[in-house]
Amino acid sequence: MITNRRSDTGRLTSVWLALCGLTVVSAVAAAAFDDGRHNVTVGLVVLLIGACKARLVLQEFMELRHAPRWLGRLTDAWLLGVVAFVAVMHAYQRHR
Amino acid sequence: MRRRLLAMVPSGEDLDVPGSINMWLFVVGELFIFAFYFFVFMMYRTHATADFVGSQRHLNLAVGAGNTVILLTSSYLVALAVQAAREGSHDRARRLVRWTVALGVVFMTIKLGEWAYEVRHGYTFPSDDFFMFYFALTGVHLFHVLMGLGILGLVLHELRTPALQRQFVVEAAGTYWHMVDVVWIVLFALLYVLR
Amino acid sequence: MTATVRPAPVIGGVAPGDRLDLRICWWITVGFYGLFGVIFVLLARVMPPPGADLSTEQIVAFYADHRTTIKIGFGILMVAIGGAAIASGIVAYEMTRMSVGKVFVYTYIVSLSVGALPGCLLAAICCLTATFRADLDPQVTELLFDITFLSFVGSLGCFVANYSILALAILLDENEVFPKWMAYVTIWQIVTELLAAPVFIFRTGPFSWNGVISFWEGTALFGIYMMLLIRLVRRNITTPAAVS
Repeated sequence: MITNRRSDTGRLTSVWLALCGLTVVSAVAAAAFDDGRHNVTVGLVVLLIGACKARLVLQEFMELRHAPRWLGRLTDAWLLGVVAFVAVMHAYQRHR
Repeated sequence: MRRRLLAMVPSGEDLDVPGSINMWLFVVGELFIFAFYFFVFMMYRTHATADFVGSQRHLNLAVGAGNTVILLTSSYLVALAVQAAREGSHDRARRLVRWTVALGVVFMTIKLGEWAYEVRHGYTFPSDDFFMFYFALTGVHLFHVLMGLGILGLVLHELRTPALQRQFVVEAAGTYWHMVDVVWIVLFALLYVLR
Repeated sequence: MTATVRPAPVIGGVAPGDRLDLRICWWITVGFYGLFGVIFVLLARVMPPPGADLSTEQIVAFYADHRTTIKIGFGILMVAIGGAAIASGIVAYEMTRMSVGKVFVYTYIVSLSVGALPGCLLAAICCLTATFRADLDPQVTELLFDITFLSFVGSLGCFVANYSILALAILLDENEVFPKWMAYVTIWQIVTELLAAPVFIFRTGPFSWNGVISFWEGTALFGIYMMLLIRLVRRNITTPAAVS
């Protein structure tokens, strides 16, 4: 059984703030560098940011940190697969 | 072969997951189902990237980011609610879940508003490939948000009834809602910020 | 799956143990779905569907090429469609053993009864009309072709209701007639059913009636669902009655 401590609330709040901050950063990056020349790099950066956000939600909000490791590894594998595929497809389009 | 497959099925202590193992099965299944949609989207995007990015510019990035923050906040609140319920503060948990529902409704309203805006400006479901995916993917996601609101409504009922107040129900609902959030994080990246 | 399956409990004096009538119905169900697969895939050739962007000539050619097997396949379906009633009935019977009210059972039965028409009969009748009436105007043939696939792939309302009611019943059922995870597998069907709706709009791409999302993914998930459902019913029928 998972029991929480007072400090867990603080941790959740930090995670939430980080998530919001990362969202803003990725939106600003996308808007600022939308000039056709940096698309691949910026795309990979925002993908990485998205991956970090997703992993934070999975590990912290969904408490996979405390869950049996097979479940954490399964979701990590999912995230890795999605991000890797998207990153490769995104980078690949540059050369067409 | 069969024995090896069966050995992979988690049992006993391995099932001591947050909430409900059945809900986790559902959630992981949904993640893989959505992953398939993401793959198909990227396949089509790779063949017509310039067109996709061109259409993408008609989306309002600020609104998309704002909506993402709203959904993230709702996730934060339901995570707090799970903690509150665990401590036995069911009233506080109920309040937090109500706020989660409220933010969920706000998210849906903004999404529908976005859709209305796009349709009014001539970007509809059959306009082009990007918008085909945009409406389909955000539509499926919205359906999941709707289901989530139903599940959270059930949680409110649980928390209100002293005879119930089962912890695993609150946690399972949280697990589902966070999944909706994770899917949106990826959708936001694919549809709004990936250029 | 067997590792996590538990025996079904006894309720209200109705034992799930060896019942000859249930066994017969189960075998008819399995036979029907097997036959369904043979008909739709091998004979009528509507699974996987031909393209949604074919020209009128290509559509006429489709019916000409497969005239004989369509007649045989869908002709058999006209007679064998009763198997669908039994397939629905046996699941409905399991639902009567649940602790939830009978309204779930009635909704399940009605939604599948309605669903039989857009789900397969409309396709069968249109294809039989197209093949048994050789001198049809090509435009009419094209219309029959469109109705076949729009109804077969695109039909949804009744099935959404069906899946919703089954999922809800399983989740609320205190007798654990079906394991809770089956409710979630059923909910996946709702999602795929919704994503079949765009076939009315798109003639190419992933959301056309032979599209990778609207058809292929939906069908794959449906196959898994159906196999699990049939397996779970069998488990309930063959498990010796528990003493309560």
